[in-house]
Amino acid sequence: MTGFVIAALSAQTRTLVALVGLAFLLVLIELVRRRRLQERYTIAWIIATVSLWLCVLVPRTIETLADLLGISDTTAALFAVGFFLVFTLLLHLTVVISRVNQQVVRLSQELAILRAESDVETAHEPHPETSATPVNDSLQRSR
Amino acid sequence: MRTLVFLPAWNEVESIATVLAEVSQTLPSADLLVVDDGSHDATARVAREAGALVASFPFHVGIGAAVQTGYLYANRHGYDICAHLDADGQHPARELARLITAVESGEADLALGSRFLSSVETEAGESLYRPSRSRSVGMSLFRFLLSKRTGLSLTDTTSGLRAANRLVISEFAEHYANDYPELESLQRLARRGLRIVEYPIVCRPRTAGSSKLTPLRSAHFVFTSTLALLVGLFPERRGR
Repeated sequence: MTGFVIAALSAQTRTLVALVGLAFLLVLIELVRRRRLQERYTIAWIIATVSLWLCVLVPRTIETLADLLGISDTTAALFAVGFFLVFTLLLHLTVVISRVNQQVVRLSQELAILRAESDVETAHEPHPETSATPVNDSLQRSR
Repeated sequence: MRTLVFLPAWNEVESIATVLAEVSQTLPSADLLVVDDGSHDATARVAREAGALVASFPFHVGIGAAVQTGYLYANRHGYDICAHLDADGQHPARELARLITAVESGEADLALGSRFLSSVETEAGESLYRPSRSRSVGMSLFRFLLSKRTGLSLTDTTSGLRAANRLVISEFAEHYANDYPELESLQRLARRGLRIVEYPIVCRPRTAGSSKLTPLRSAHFVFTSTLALLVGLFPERRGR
């Protein structure tokens, strides 16, 4: 119906989004301050917040974007931007999880190998008949 | 040649002692390692009592990481040959011995036991492997994907009975996928120019325990393996 006329964001929406973004940044800073969140993982969130701010504080941005996407309602365009940011963040998170998972697996492999190697050590102890019991094992290994 | 035989085991307390005894009787000079993948039962204790080395995981990590641990151990301790078989008793030790001989003689870098090549008369208690229809469809898909770019034509791509020389040991110690690595590992080796040869084996029905492959896991297996093979068709790109 509106054709190529782009409906601007209402002042109410813009204020709300800007305030929520601000609150979000404050929470982020507080989490870093309490060492509950590592600095390297704040970057993605800061980029997301700043992008949303750009959309609501410089209305030209979201209006141009809406025009490019062929969306007449800027509110819907804002949602599209939000979705895109969320998906990017989720992808980033799964990459991080994959890396952490690889590290956990490698650590557990190292632990398993160390356990097997300590079996070899105890097998070569001078008193094979006593080394079968775990209590003696720990005593003998502290030689 | 120094040989390491390892068994990835996850809750295989009922069969592990028998399998270990059979292997050490057939291959008396080989060192035995059980990779205990976070078993809740007494698998690790029974294996240790049977005289095997035990690499125990603090939690379950999956077959890929468990198998790689065997190769890591072999690599660090300078073994010339590294072979593995399933801990459920379906692989007779003498079949493993044949694969080891093939690798020792230099016929293959990696020898695989195939349940399909076998034309051997079945002995009492042994049966030829017959997969269900859905399973054989999946297997043909894998055979097709694996043959692309590698020229490999293998009959039994998911066999858990393998023997490897040093070249393969160091390759697997470095790269081995976690979830379902069987196919991807073959593709990688072939593209590195290593020789993979299949030998017919006769398997026994499992002596104890039950198959770990539920329908959901099978679906996951087909999905991950297909994806890994498709990704493997592209030129390799090294990450950080």
